[in-house]
Amino acid sequence: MIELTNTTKLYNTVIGINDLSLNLGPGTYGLLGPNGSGKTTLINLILGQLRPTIGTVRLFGENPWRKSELLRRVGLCPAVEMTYPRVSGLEWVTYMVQLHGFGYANSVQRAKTALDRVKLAYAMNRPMRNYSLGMRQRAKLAQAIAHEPELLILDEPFNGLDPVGRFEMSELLKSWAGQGKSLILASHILHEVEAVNPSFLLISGGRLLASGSPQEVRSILADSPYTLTIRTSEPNHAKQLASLMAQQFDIESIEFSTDDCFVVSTRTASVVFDRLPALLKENQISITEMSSQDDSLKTLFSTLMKMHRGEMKRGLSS
Amino acid sequence: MNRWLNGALATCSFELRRSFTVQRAAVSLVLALFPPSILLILFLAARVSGDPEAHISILDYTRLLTVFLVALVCLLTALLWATPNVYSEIEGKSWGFIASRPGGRISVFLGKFLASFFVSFSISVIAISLCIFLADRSLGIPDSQSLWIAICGVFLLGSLVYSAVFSMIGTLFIKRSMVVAAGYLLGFEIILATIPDALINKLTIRFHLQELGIAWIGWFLPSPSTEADYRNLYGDALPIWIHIIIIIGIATLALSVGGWTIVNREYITKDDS
Repeated sequence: MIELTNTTKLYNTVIGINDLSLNLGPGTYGLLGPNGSGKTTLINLILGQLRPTIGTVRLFGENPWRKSELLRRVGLCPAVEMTYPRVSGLEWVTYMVQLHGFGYANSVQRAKTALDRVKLAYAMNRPMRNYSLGMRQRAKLAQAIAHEPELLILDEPFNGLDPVGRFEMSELLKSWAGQGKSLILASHILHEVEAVNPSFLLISGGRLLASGSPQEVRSILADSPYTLTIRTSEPNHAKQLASLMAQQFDIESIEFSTDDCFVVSTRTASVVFDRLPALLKENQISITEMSSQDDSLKTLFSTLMKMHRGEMKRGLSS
Repeated sequence: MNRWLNGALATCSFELRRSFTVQRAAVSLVLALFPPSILLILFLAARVSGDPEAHISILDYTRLLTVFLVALVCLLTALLWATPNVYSEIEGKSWGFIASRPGGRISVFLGKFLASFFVSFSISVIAISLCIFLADRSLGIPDSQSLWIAICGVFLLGSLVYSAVFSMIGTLFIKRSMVVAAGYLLGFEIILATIPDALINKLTIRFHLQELGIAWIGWFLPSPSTEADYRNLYGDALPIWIHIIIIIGIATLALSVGGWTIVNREYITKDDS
C-alpha cells in the first residue's frame, strides 16, 4: 500500500525525513513520535504534497507526486486547526466532497451521511465558527471519510476532544479498522493510539526508530517508571496515603512538594490505577487532584534510544 | 477536464458564499459607489459654480473619468479577490484539505479566478450603470445605452485578464503576492504603458484595453490631445479582433502558467515538520 525507499526530505538545510524506508501493507498503523519528529512531513510525502529530496515514495504502487488521482482513494484529516467562519459544517464537507469529483447532490448526501457517522448531524447547519474544538475535529473527520476512502490518514485526531469525544473517536476508528479498511493514526500521545490497537511506527528526528505490535510497546513501557502527582484535601491524608502506597505498591520514590502534595514514581502504574480507588475508600482519604504528565511516549523513545546505543536489549524490530 | 470545471464552479460558489459577510458586502458597495459619487460631486460643483466653462470641461471629461474610476475599482477588486488565492488557504490552514483532493489545487485556482472575475465585473457593471445614469441625468448623453454596452465590454475583458494575471501572481509569489501585483500594476501597466512611442506599450494589457475603448466608446482621452496626436505617438490602430485575441491570449497564458505552478509546486506550510 505504501512504500518508501531511502526517502529523505530536506527543507533547505533542515531535515524533515532522514533516509526512511518502510513498506506498509493494508492495515492499521499508529505513527508515533514527539512533536516535530517528522510525522506530518511523512504524511505529506505519502500524499504527494511534498517531493522527496532523495529516494522514492509509492502509494498504491504509484508515485503520488505525479498522480493526484490516487488521492481519491485516501482520506486525510490534518492536524491543523482551521475554520471557515461563515459556512456551516454541511456546506464545508459538501464542498470538500465536491473536490473529489462528485456532483453536488451526491456530495450533499455523502456529507450528511459522514456528519451523521461522526455524530455531528445535529449541528451540521450551524456556522462552523460556533463549533467547539471537538465539533470541528468531528467535521474534519467527516470530510475525510465522506468519499469512502480505502486509506484514512489522521494526524492528531484526538486534539481538543473531551473524554467522551475521545472514546467516541476511538470507537469510530475501531469500527473503521474493523471494516477491513486501512488506517494511519499519527499522534504524540501513546495511549490514544493504543486504543485502536494498531501496529506501531515509532519516528523521531525524521528517522523510523522502530516498528512493532502493541504488546511489544507495552513490554518496553512495563519496565519504565511512571510519575504521578497526588494532592490530598488535608496534609495528614497526604502522609498517610504516601505511607500506604509505599507499603502496598512497587514504589520507586516518593517526594513531597508541599504538605498536602507528593509525587510518586512507580514501575507498576497499571496496578496503582487499579487499586488506588479501593485504598482511598478503605482509609477514608480524599484526594483533590491526581495528575500525570503523559510522558509514556517520552519514556518509550528514551528506552528505544538506549536500545539503539546498546544500553538495553532490543524489544522491538528496529 | 470536466472534474476540473465542476471543482472550479464548486470553489467559486463556495468562495462567494463564504465571503458574503456584512463587512465584505459593505466594502463592495463602497467600491461600486465610489465612481458615481466622484462624478456626482463634480456635477454638483459645476452646477453650483454656474460657470459654463466648468460645465463644458465636465462634459469633456465624463467618459474618461468614468473609465478611469471604474478601472480603479475593477483593478482593486480583482487584486483583493484573485491575488491571495494560495496565501489565504495556507494562512487559513485549509491548504492541506484542498491539496489532498485529486484536482483540488487546480479547482481552487480556477474557482478563485472565476470568483474574482465575477465579483470585479459585477462591481464594475454597477459602477458603470450608476455613472452613466448620473451623467445622462446631469448632462444628457446621446445613446447612453450604446455607451453602457461599450464600457461594459471593455471591463468584461479587463476583469477577465487582470483576474487571470493576479491569480497567476498569487501562485508564484505567496507571501508578497499583493505587493508584487500592486508593483506590476504601477510599474508595468501605469508607468511603462505611458511611455510614448515605445514597443513596450504594446506588451501591456492597458494598451490593448485602451485601444478597444477608443474603438468602442469613441475618443475618450483628454480633449487637449487628439486621436491624430495619439496615433503619432502610439502607432496606428490594429483591427479590434487582434486586441481581443491578444487580451484573451494573455489571460489564457496567465491561467496556464498559474495552473501549472499551483499543480507542480511544493507549498510548504509551517505545520510541515
